[in-house]
Amino acid sequence: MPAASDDTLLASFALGDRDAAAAFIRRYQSRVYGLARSMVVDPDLAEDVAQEAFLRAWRNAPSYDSRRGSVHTWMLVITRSLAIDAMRLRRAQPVDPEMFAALDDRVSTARSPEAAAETNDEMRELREALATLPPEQRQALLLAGLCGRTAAEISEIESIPLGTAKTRIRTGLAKVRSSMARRGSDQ
Amino acid sequence: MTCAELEGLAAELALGTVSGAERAGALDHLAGCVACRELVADLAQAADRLLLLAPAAEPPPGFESKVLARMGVAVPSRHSHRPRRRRVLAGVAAAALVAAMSAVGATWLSGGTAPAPEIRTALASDANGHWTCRAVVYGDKPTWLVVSLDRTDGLSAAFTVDALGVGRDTPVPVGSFSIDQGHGSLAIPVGLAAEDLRSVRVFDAGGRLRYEMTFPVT
Repeated sequence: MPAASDDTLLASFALGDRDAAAAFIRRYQSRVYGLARSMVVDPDLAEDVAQEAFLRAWRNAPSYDSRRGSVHTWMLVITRSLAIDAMRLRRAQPVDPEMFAALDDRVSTARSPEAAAETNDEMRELREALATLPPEQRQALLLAGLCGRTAAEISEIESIPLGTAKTRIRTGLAKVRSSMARRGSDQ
Repeated sequence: MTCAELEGLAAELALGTVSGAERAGALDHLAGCVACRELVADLAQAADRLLLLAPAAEPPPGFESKVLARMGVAVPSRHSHRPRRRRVLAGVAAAALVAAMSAVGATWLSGGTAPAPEIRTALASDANGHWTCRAVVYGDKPTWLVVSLDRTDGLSAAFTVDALGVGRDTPVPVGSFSIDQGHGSLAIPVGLAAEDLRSVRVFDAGGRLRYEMTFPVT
């Protein structure tokens, strides 16, 4: 039997069906937990965040709107929000340099084997947009976007003035957005 | 907070990293400024997509069971053997129906821990009186409609679905789905409130009405 679509699976997950819930969790758990790890670093806290993300998705499933993004993105947005809340309650652990280096590699079209094998157009375009950023802007954007770090924390990590950190985040995200919009209008 | 100040903070708002008084001030400004709301929403599209690049990592063993337990759902047994037909039907829409019916019959009446979504179910039977086509509707903004078809003749075919609202004469096209070896389903948001849905109709590829499920009047 072909796998259920994300939307269909979410619909059944919302109803609390046991098999659908198990399938839904299996489908997204590595992505959700992976993002939580990138953000909170601590494995135990990341597991708490990931569990809570699935519970929140279950409770809020009827409010999911497919016009605003995929189920995958929706799950990750929930996870990000919970991870950031958790980091505010517990002093954030330092970013793991090895993990961050691997993360930076993932978004470089030229260097990442995953990027070379990417078949999803949206992902490939996203990687390309990030790869065109100056390294300092890309790193600031990744620290904020995938590690949940505030501008003040990035200023400390990178040993740069707060205003510079804010500018790098703002400019980096604006360029990615413009790049996505440009590619969207080209298609 | 002014529009210029908000603009300087828009990226961080979109990324979710602003907190405290700064966030409160920004939200207060956004509540009354359409242009700034649009700016943040626009950047949030890019910020949200960035999340797709997060590395995957397997959670510790037992993760799935812990989540299911917190949902109040029994952990699936890896040794249970369900009938073949039921496995095929586990095409999730049918599972949704089972869940909906059991929720109505068990969870709601027993006051269980699961939430009680507004679920309405309607059925259509075949000539032998067996329930064959089912429609389940639940949720709000969007309202989800799940239609599942379960035939014993092993038919593979395509169907289209429309819905009629209470007090309306014009049906709303909903979507289409296919069945394979007698089983198939459709789950889709519909532009009607759950309580306003009167009936759901399923047509074959030739446009003939094959099933009509009428919801009980609420």
